[in-house]
Amino acid sequence: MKHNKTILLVEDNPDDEVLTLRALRRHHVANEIVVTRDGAEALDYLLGTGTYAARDVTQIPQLILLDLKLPKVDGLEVLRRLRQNLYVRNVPVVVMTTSDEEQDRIQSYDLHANSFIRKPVDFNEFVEVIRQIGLYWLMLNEPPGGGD
Amino acid sequence: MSWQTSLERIIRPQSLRGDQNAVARRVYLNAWLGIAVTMIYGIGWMIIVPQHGGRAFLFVVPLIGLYGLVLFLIRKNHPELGLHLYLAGGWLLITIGTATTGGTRAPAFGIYTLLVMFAALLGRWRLAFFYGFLSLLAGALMVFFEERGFIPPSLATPLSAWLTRAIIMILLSAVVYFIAEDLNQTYQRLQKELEERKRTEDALRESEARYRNVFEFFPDVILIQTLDGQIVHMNSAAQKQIGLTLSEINDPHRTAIIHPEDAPLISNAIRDLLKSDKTCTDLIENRFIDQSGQTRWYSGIILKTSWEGKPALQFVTRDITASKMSETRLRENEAKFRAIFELAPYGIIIQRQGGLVTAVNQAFIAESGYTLDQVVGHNLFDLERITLFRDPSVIDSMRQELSQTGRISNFQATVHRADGHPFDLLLSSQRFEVEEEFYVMTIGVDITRLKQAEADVRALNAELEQQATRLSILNEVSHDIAALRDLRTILRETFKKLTPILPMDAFLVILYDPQSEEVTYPLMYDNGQFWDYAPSILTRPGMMSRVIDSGETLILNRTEAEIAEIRARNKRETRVGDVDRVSASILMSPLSVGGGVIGVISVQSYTLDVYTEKHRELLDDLAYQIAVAVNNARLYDTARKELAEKRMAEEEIRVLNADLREKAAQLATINNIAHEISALTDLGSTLRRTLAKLKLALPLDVFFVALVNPANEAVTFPIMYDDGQYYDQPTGSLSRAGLTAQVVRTAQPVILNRTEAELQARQNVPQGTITRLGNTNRISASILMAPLILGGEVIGVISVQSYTLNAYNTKHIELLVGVASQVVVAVDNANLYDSLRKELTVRQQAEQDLFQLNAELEHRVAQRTAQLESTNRELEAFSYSVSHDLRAPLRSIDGFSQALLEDYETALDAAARGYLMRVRFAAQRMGTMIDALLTLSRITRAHLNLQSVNLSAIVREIIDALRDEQPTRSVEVQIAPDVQGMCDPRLMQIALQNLIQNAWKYTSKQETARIEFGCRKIDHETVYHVTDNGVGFDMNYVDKLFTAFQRLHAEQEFQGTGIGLATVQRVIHRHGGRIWAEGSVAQGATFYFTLMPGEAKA
Repeated sequence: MKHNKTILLVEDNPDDEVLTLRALRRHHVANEIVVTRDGAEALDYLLGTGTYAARDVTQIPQLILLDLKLPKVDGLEVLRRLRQNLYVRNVPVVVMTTSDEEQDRIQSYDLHANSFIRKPVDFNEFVEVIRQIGLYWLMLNEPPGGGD
Repeated sequence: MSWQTSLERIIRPQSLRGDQNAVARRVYLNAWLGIAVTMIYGIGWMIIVPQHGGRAFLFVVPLIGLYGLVLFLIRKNHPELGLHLYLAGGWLLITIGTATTGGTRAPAFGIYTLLVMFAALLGRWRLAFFYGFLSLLAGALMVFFEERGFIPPSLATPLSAWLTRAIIMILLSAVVYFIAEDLNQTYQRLQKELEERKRTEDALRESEARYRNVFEFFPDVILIQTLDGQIVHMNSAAQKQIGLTLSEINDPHRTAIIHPEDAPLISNAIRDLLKSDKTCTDLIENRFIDQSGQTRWYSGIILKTSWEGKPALQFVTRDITASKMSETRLRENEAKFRAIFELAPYGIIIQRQGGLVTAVNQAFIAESGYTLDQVVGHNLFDLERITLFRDPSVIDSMRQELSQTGRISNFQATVHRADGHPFDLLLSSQRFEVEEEFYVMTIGVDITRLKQAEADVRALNAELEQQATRLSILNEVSHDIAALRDLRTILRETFKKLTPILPMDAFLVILYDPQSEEVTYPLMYDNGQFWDYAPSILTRPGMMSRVIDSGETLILNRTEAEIAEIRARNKRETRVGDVDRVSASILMSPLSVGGGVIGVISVQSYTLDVYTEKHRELLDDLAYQIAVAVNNARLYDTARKELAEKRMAEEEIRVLNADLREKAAQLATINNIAHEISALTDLGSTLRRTLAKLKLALPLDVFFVALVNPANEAVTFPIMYDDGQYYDQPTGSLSRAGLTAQVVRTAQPVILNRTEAELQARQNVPQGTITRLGNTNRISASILMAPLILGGEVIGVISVQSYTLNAYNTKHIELLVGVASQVVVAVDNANLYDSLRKELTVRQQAEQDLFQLNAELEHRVAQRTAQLESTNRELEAFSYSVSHDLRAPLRSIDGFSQALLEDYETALDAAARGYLMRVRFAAQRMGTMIDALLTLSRITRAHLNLQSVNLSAIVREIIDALRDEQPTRSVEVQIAPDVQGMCDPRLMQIALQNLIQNAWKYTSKQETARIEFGCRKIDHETVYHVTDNGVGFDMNYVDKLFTAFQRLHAEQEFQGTGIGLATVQRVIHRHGGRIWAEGSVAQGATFYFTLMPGEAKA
């Protein structure tokens, strides 16, 4: 199992996708960013099924940015499924959502999300949030590591 | 150092020892030998042919030099070089030597052979061939040159030739010896190796045979399994115990022989073993399932081994089921014994021989009062420490008996508790042996309790007897009362019956009229005679008034001193009965009916401390009966009086009577329902029992009870028995000419003995003309009929009849009259029961209605709750989507506006940038408002978690946060210390945050801003307030203050969402409190609110 330097962005809102990528680029995050647009696609990517059947699943993303409200399979379900999977269960998952419902927060942490972040309306704040996520999860945080 | 060792060191230097240096060693040795021989040769030559000594010298000196160089090279660790020098130099010198001394004919020519053999000896075959070839070539050349005469003829004299050849022979034999020696050594070595190998092989074979035997005939199971799981070998014990052959055991469809619970244990052990460098595992205990399906315990190890060159596992394990079972059984027995020991209701003590206590059980601790530490580990006979036995002679006799018989049975002894209290024990001891040590176990049964229990049983018996007597008396009294005889007579009879069971000198019944406070004395007995008293007014305060007012029974046991004092006071006028005597013990019960006290009953004695609780109970029961009787008599009396005054018709009297009786019954019922119900029996079964008893007492073919309703003369028959069977006699009307009507009229019993003729005549009367009951085909010959009298009224008749002539006499009449009185009680009881039941039914119906109503209400509440819940859920879903779906586009608006501003900075002019800034500002503001709205909606949904909260602390935190945010502002803040409120801390935080923030915001234009938080008590209510000296507001708009999105100030002036105060109001309302505001423009504002402590509104 190897952690490559990919960031997996799971986001169905194309605006948010553009804004998130823009914010990441603004901070010169050089990592490859894979975007999946619903929960099923995210799971396919991570587990190497469906359209991603050919993908080398031992290539584990370094960070997953996960929206909760997603078509097909919702974000909490994605989180639950990937935490059950032996390969990807240790990947840091930052839940990024528009809602600040307590139940979402509690459920996310119950499913071992690593962070829960509410996307602010103000784009400058949003950029700052992305900067801090990048700084913390890509620079400071040590990934679970290879081997096993 | 001896010369031998010196020589040894010269000939065999240390560096040349060892097998690998054999060649060097030999060359070395040969060089020495060569030096020696050459010198001998030189000397010999000088002696034999001194004339050619010069030539010999020319030959000998280089040879010795050559050998010296060889020796030097070998010592310098260049054996190969030494060898080649030896051979090449030797060959060259030989060739020169022979060529100068006669070529092939020279005696030294044979030395070539020596050289070649030497090379061969060293195993250097190529060198040997090479020098052999060179020598032959040299020989051929010499022959050629000799033929031509270039080489001078040999100078050898026979002697020199002999000498030369002798030396060659000696050297040759030395070389041959070397070869022989070498061969011999090699042979010896091989022989030795062969033997060694044979021995090893033998040992190996033996060991294998031994191991095979051990393996095959070892009593424990041994299996060998390859790492792929195949069992490849098993010993005979394994085959026998598992009951499977090798092919069967490897059958993949066979059930596992390892118990499924133990499979992980074994696989883990194997895994660990394979990982580690150990050769075998620790001891493993596991279960195998044999062929018959039985589970057996095994204990063994797993070893690393190999099978056909591949690594394998060897299992060696032993059936320990039997020992395991016996171990379990032993543990169980031990546990059982321990449980018996600990839980036995008798004290048990175990001591070592000599008295050292090793164990005592819980019962011992409980009974003896000693603690465990006081006894265990100490000597039982250490009489200073343990004072169980105080009498040494007891111990001595116990010891003696123990030592003689090994046991003591049922030995009675008095022992002492820790607190010194003595008790009697029945002791039994048994000596037993554990691990060669003698112990004594002693069980003590506390017979003090046994004795006490016996006494208790005896006392209980006596009490039961007494109670039986009491009950029979109560029965008789109630019987009398039911018949409602003259009150005075009843009371006297009651008194008569009481005297044998209640010790008394005085007995009085006093009636009390609560309206007039008048007391009458229907019975007054004192000191052996009855006394009559005129009615008087109740003396207050007094013993009697106390009982009447409290309604509770009084037991008064006077002391000698009190009696003396009463005598001394000598207030004769307040005493009743024998005024000369003073009662020492007094028992006085109230007569209560329907919740009111109508008098008292009292027994008194001149003896001290006579009355107990039991007497009190008896008197209470009696009081109840008498109260009912008195009340009945009174009601009856009243009714009579009224009737007499109004001269009403007989019917009316009866109706009234019935009413009165009902009233009495109701009163009694209400008074003590439980008491009533226990006394009530079903009338039908009572009458059947009565019939059964009558059958035994008199001749009987017909038995019936007829009840007459005085209102309409309807006759009902609760029982009708004729000729061996029961009839369900329908209700009829009283036939005035009939015998029944006669008895009802006269209230007198009747006996009718028909003659044969009368019987015949009656038999001939056709069916239907006269009323016949029961079996209408048979005519009774003898008839006995008695009235049933209740409260002086005849309520019916009871009759026994017989088909036999002259069956009854006057004795039978008496009997029937007696029975009649019992039946009356039963009938009365049944009537009461009936009315009670009706009332109960009504009440039950009411309860049922109530219950239904309740259920309906609950249902409605549940429905409403469900509706509310669903609304709540909808609301939650709504706010969730608001939170998510409304905010997301806002972020896009803001984000892309920003993107435009950044990416097209140059393309946009200042106005466009300004517009975009406005778009962004509006989006952000809407985001803030959505958040505020969500907070507002959440407050409605949040669960209230009420607790006592320090509001001052919350306010202070909010102020501190605001100060941090705007450090430049100077605001004077006053917070009343420790203001407490019963509220939800989270919600209250939100409310106070809004209020204080408002105050902070609206005072921002003041030079010296002031904010105050405090509380006051107004009309038992705590009113909290937040006051500021800010811009205030117009009281005309105070209504709009708490409405969402209503703002009293322009956005430019003061920023805000317009939801803050609505939120505050909702929080306060959730707490059941009120909120209001006071203020005026530019004069500041005050917000007041209350909380309703303890009132949670979900």
